[in-house]
Amino acid sequence: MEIKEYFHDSCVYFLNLEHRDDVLKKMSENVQEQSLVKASFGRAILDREKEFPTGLDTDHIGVALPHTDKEHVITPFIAVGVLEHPVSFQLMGGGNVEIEVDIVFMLGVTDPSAQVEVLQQLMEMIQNEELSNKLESAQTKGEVISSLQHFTSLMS
Amino acid sequence: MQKSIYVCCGTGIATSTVIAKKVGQALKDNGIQHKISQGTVANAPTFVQTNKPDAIVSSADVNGNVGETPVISGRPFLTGIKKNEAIDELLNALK
Repeated sequence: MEIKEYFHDSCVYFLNLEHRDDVLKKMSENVQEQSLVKASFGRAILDREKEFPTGLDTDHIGVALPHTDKEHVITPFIAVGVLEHPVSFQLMGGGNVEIEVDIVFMLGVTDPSAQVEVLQQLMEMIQNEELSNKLESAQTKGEVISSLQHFTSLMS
Repeated sequence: MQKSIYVCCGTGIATSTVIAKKVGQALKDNGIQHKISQGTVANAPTFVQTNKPDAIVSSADVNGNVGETPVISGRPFLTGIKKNEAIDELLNALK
């Protein structure tokens, strides 16, 4: 499965929310409605983010990569939350440092060995300033998906 | 002599897998024989007791007791930001 196959219109969200937990709840509820995850996923995501934060910053974008154990996931996916204004997440392995996050990539992982490539590509994507800017300024789900797919086709 | 590195993250599945690949590549580039083990940060103290690794690379905060084992942040291996500094830190830890 190539990375572009993980991205779908139905898993792109434009969110106007203030708090990290609200962002995570909204996104997990939606993937649960689509039966991509089990009912236990939402709670597991919230707990995991609290215990092991996933915020990452580059020079030009802040992202978070919430994920949890594979037993909560039914079908692999990457949900993309474009935040209308930045929301505070804690930095991954950064003590209690908070960073401002612009885009949330929620990962539904079922097979880590197969999906490591996907995560690696995602990391390359956030290091690309042009793509980051496009994502942050995207107005429609279609624009988000086409930017991601365009970029992934350049990498493969 | 072969160096042993424990690479970990919160879940032991997602980010640590990417970090392990990058760490392995960096060590290979520097001609360092190594063995990388991957796991969860919660298991780090146990791993240290039983396997005595030369270094830990973790994307999560290591709160358990890992004794004198050097701990290097795994984040630069993920994002590429300050990656060279992190590689230097790892190489120094393995000296």
